[in-house]
Amino acid sequence: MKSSRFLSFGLILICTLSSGCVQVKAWEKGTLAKNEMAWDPDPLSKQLNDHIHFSKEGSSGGVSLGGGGCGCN
Amino acid sequence: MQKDKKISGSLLALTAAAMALPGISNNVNASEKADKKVIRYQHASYSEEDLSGLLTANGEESPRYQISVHQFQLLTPVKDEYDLTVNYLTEEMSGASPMGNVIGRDNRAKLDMSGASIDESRRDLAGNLRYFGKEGAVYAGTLGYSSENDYQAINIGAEGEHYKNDKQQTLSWGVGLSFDSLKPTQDERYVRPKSEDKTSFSGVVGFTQIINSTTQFQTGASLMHLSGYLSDPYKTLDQRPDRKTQFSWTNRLRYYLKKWQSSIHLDYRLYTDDWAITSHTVDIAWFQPLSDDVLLVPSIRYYTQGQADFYVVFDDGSIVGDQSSDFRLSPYGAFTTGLKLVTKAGDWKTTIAAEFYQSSADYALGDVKLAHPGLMEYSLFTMAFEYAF
Repeated sequence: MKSSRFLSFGLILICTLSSGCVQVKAWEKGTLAKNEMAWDPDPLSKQLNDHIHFSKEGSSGGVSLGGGGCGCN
Repeated sequence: MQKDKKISGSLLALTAAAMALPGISNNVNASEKADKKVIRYQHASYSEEDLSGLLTANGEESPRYQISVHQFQLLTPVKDEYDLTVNYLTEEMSGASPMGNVIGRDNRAKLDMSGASIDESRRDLAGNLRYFGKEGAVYAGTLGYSSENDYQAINIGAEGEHYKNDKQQTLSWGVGLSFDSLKPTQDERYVRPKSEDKTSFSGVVGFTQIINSTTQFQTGASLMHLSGYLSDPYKTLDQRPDRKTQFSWTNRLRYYLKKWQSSIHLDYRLYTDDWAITSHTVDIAWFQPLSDDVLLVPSIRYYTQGQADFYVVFDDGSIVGDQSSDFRLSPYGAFTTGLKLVTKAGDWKTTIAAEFYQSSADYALGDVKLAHPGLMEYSLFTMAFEYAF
């Protein structure tokens, strides 16, 4: 029940954000191309943190495929 | 008409010139092909907090795990349309681990620790080959192998990205398979399975939208189905269902604050599975340049989860069917605070970072009926180097 409420809220948020989009020209994309604006600016830290959370918490998953192995304790 | 053509030609020339300038690129949120080789190395060391004697079954203070990780990554262009990433990781773990929960003299659940120090190591090798098609698409294949003395896993995957509307939108997808085999170390005092298998299938889809010149948004869903042996062979009484289906929905926002030249990262993930666990994760990071070559990144993460429907606070031999007293299946919340410093010098980049993870039943969002006595706390320190050539 709680999950579906969050899902509905998120979908409304996405629709709102999408309707406010503007066409950004190539020469206006300099800021978005900065490394700090990347989805994962530090790939090794991202891998490490994903693995730590996978091995210490009850949930996992994201927007890309994860690796394998256990390393649990 | 002729005038329109002239304007259009001038515009094209201006666009081409602008895109040739450093920092101006059409490849924004999209994957970019590596144009030079990059080597990355990271060493991480983290230690879980010791358990007080008040929480253990024998009344003695018990150390938990100390873990040391070395990561290597090579990213290199391959021919005109490909690049390759190779990752290698070694992980050394030592310490004691809970084997289950029992009732103490004070009628409260206590952790039954493994006692003698366990030493384990893991090696992980993975490769990712990407193909950059001419039709605004990127395809990638991944292959990985992870090995411990009692656990082997092979994973394969395929991923793709498709760009729309001059890269204003990106659609992404991925499918992956993992085949795991367990051969638990035998101890005559305990009954443990000799050999077990586990298979998992995962699929992800994502959508990225550029909102304006300072904001971009990404949403993605992932579905994973696991089947086989999903219990923990080293716990005294641990029996979990042999199937699990889990779903997560992730949303990420990147916003550039011009006034302070800061990049703000805001991530949220909703997770739910058919073991009845629902979790929420919020990640916030602030990338603040202190000069052209120095970047400071404070971050905070909040995580909260409900309990699995077969979670028990202490092991009960009279229960028929599934039960587990693993803290990972218990209800709790956790805060992680972090600070990272990145410095650049020519083709070198150096990063040092510290993170502190603290979990408690009091941090959980929902009601906690059965709090686990031994929730996790750890400190993580990392140092990393990157060289591009």
